[in-house]
Amino acid sequence: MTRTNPDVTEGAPTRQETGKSLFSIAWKQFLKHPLARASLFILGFLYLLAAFADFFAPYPENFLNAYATFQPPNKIRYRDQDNRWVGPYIYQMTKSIDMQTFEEIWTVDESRRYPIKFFVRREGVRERYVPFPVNLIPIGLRHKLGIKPWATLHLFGVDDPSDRTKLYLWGSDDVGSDVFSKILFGARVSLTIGIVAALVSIAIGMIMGGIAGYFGGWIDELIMRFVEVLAAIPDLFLLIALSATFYPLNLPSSALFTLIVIVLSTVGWGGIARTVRGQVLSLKERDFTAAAKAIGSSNGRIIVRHLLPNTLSYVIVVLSLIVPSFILVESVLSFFGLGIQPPATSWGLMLSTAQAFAGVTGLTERWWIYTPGIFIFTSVLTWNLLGDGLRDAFDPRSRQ
Amino acid sequence: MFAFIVRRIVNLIPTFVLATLVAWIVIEIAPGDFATQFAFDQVDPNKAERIRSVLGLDRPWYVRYLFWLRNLVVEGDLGTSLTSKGSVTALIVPRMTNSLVLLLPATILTYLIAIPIGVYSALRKYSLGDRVLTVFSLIGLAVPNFFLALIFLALSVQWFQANGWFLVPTGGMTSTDYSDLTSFRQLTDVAWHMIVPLIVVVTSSLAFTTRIMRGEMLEILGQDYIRTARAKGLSERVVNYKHALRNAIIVIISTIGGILPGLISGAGTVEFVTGWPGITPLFIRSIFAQDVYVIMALLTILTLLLMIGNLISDLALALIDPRIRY
Amino acid sequence: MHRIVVHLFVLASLTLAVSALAQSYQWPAEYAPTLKQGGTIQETTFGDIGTLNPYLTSSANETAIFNGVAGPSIVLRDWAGTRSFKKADGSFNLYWGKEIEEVVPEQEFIITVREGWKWSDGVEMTTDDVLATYTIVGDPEVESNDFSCSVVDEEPVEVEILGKYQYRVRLAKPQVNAISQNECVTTNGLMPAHIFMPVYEAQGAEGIKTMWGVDADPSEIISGGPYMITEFRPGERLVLEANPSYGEFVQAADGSPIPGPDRWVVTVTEDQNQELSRVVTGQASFYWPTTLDQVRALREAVDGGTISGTLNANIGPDTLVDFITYNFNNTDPCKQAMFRSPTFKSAISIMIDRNALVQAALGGLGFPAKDWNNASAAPFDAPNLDPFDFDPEQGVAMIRSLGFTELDADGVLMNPETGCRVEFDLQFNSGNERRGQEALVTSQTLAPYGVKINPREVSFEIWVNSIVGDLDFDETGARTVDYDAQIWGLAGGDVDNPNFDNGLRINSNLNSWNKSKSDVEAWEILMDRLTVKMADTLDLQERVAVYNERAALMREYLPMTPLISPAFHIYTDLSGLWPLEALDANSIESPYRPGGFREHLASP
Repeated sequence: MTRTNPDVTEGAPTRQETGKSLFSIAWKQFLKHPLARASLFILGFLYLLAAFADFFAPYPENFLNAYATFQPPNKIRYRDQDNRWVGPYIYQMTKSIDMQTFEEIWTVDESRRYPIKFFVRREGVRERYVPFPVNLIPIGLRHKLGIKPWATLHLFGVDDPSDRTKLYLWGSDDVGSDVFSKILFGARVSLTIGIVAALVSIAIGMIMGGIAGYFGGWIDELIMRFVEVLAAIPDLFLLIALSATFYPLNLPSSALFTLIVIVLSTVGWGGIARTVRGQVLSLKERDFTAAAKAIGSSNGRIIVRHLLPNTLSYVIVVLSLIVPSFILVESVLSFFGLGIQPPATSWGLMLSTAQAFAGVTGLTERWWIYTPGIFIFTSVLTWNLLGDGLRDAFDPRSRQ
Repeated sequence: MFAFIVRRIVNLIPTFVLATLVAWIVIEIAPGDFATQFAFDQVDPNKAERIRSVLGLDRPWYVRYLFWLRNLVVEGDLGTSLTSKGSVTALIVPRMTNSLVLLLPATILTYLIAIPIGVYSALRKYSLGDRVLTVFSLIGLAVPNFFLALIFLALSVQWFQANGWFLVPTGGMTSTDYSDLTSFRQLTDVAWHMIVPLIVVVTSSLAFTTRIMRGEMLEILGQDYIRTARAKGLSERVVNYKHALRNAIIVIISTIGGILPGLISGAGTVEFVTGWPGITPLFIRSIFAQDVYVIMALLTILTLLLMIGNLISDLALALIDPRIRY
Repeated sequence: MHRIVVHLFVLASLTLAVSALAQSYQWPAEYAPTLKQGGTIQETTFGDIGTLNPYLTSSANETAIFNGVAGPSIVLRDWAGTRSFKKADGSFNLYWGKEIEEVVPEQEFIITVREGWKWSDGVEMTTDDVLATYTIVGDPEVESNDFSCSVVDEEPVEVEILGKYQYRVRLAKPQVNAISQNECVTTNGLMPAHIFMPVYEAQGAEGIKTMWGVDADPSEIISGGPYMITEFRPGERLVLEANPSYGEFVQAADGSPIPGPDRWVVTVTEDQNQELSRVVTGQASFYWPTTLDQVRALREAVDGGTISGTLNANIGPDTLVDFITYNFNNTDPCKQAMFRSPTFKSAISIMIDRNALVQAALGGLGFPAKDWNNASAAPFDAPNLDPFDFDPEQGVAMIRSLGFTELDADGVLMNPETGCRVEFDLQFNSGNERRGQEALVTSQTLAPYGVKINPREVSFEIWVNSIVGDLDFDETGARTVDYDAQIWGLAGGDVDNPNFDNGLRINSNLNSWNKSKSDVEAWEILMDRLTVKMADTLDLQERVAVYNERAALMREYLPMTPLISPAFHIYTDLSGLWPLEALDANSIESPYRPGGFREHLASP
């Protein structure tokens, strides 16, 4: 089980230095951290790919091709038989099965070249897409407002008038989907589910911790008792049991995404609440709280405007450490068949599907379907390094 | 001190009841019940209904919860598994033991590796070594455990097919001739089977412990008494290792109570893929089958252990930190 | 041999029973269970063993394993010949039974059992054990998996003990293959009365349920079969060793000791990769691969010399047939009219390229289906039916003839008068890759012809409720799941009587297309009647004729649209144990216990 509450900066001082703001100092510190800087760059690139997945991916998310399951990656060629430069092209590949050895044999048909074109348009009804960031607006609202900006442009695609030849840059999977396209679409779920769930956890954790720490007394007792109860129930149980509850409802992918977020944040908020409570307990003894009270600010205002912002540096660090753990937890849910469901996809779902259907033999023969593993690895690693960098940046003792 | 312990234990009771109640409700709100899995029966269409009434699943959930709680408190009875019809204790104890057999060495090994890394990283912060070790400790974390275990499984198969003998076993906890071995050979047999799951578990938990250790060291190195020690002219070595490290380890030890339930709550997906007969597969299967008594028994034990662990932590802290008095 | 005799002598004097000369059973010559002598049989099983009580098993895996431990059955299935409890000449294949007198055909029997057969603790098996088994299995509180066998038409099966070795069984009404009802109670295990009855009398069903749990000492567990449990490690393995007394009452045709192998080790796995890894590294004596990948991995390991057994791949169809059923109670009137129309269903059926399904879903290792049973169920495999045509043009013409004459903006056929479109969801159970592929390929093949099928993966619960869920009698009148069409399948019914009356009768629980009692088509009534008739037809040939008649009716009205069957494969290193000519999906029986069916687990 991955631990979702890295209380590493518990009690990190948040005193405001005179002159420069905490954040500008932190930013300067952060820039001195080469691994964190590189991580920020890589993550930025991954999020960019996710945002414009429709444009970068040659095929739509629900693309299937039952006749080319587990096709190895197409070899991209640039020169013809006479070694003349003709630009990138591929040959068509067809599958047959040797009934003696049961090997799948892919034959390359060299009779015709299928050139790869850049900035192609695909006008088909199912291939049009709503570009980022308009696709963030819920469909209902979009219809109401009459926004219909369809886009048809893709970065690249194979030029085949009959549309029978498919370009599998990174091979195809068990339903003949393009692994490359699926990874880009899966990035949307995998990279955002962690952030959204972390934000929700932090919001709940901060509010609960803030209330408990500020008011004390029976409210504190009640909230902290509940946190204790959540801590007493193993995370894996809560995750699986809650998911198993929602799963049979057969919900659409978007609702499932929300539910996974709810499940993850239910598991994740307790530790944050406890730390925030501790910080608020010490902050409320400070002068500025007394001053705010003196001028008659309401309790809610004091919590929201004065106490919580002072825990912000802690929260930023926790966010960057919780996100990767949620990315991993999402893959664990998929391993148990309780994560995102097709036709939507995520890296965790792709990896666990690969494990279930190609398994131990596929690892050598169909290595390309395990590509999502590399992406999970990269994103978890970089988020963690980013978190380390942020922690050092916000922690005055760690400064260089 | 004694009064404190008593107060803590009394305080545990509502937490315990609430935790089990929450868990019970979570299981109950899932659609269907244990008998649902028998609805699809080609020869016996009434099976699901019959089982439901025999097991009393048609009674309201709170009645069953209260019965369960009463049996637990009055008779210390954790109940009967709906699936295997036998005693829940008999079902879970061997599997918990198996998980412990894996996780105890794994935890110790994690600390043995993570503490030096954390100390080194804190003392040489921002050095090349610090960065390399930080990345190293993150590698195992960043690969999902089930996938890492699969890679080892494939390697084991490949090795056997190439060489005709096993470098690491394909899974399980013991060899088939285990009961015929001498006790020393039994020990080495289990150790051999443990290699792969141990690597997966240790690498995945390394980053967490390293990070805590590094943080603690940095925190302590910034404390006044360290500065005082330095000012007194003590050598860097003595300051770092005698004062700082000792205090950092004390803090780590004081959190040790918190890992107690983790030792038997199972190693997660790795137990599936490496065939380690731990508690996780039983746990997951029970959740899917809605075998509520198995789940509740597990939660009961884990909750109790968590509370005992926290108590131990508090007591340990009180013993090592003279400022804390109860 | 000496040791055993002494052992028995001691026990016999203890129980004060004078052991009669054992009336032993001799394997027929065509069974060769003794080719392998000594050594260990290794097997993997999926999912943990929850009990050591052979009479309370909750899963097919456990039943298969404990077959080697449970008491003997009266008759056995002749898996190399008729596959029935009866021989070709109509007489029973007796095992523990010495003689069976059929007092009333297929209803009442007087059964005489062989004398001198012993439990592994030396106590003799008698009709006391039969009575105990009926008493305990017939108590619903015990939750035995065989409870339904002890009841016919809600009347308990009557058992009357006529003597130490003779009893009478009477069913409430004649039934095809009535002896199987008796067998069902005793096949999964004749119980040792001297162990079970004292517990049952003292503590009732609760006492039985706590007997021989996973914490039981294996030495307490009495065996009546070829093997005894000697070790159990939860979640890991079960070790069985040869039962020395078994060889005294069961003998091999060539006189060699039985059972041959000394040990039988069953390893528990929870993960299919784990299981496959064990098989390809020589840690399993037999295995039934189900996917192309598994077959290939085994072929590679066998050819590479890593493992020593033989892989018999692609030897006929598995017992499983996948098919599509449509929801006649759909709340959308357009869809309901489509789904009830035989023309529509026939059109879709001939537009499906079953060979492409076999290629895509099974990598070529499968067979197109023409009926809901296949060749493995012979003679109940509808020889009167031809395979389905693949003729999409003809299919489109048929759909057009129903009024769907125009294409709409999305290229889907529609009826200009009613506005109905030829579009429906096709659901399959999550995690079933084969069915997923079937749905995908079907959807892709039909799309260019203006038939829009949306493949839909649903959870197991939804999938089950689509089959068994009743009509809601609230204002909507919808079913528990208001689905459109669904792929499911059936595996291996009764060899003697694959009647499927809880699926093909009106309003039966596995009738997934029409849950209404009143809103039924004329052909459904006819099918219901033929199903009743089949259950009442005691003669095999006549029953086959009724089956064929019903199959022709089902072909015309297509309550189920058959798709494909996966092929059956078996890997084993117990060479010759299963003669190749006898190998098919219905003949995998325990080589050491007559009648002990080792179920390979094709999911429904």
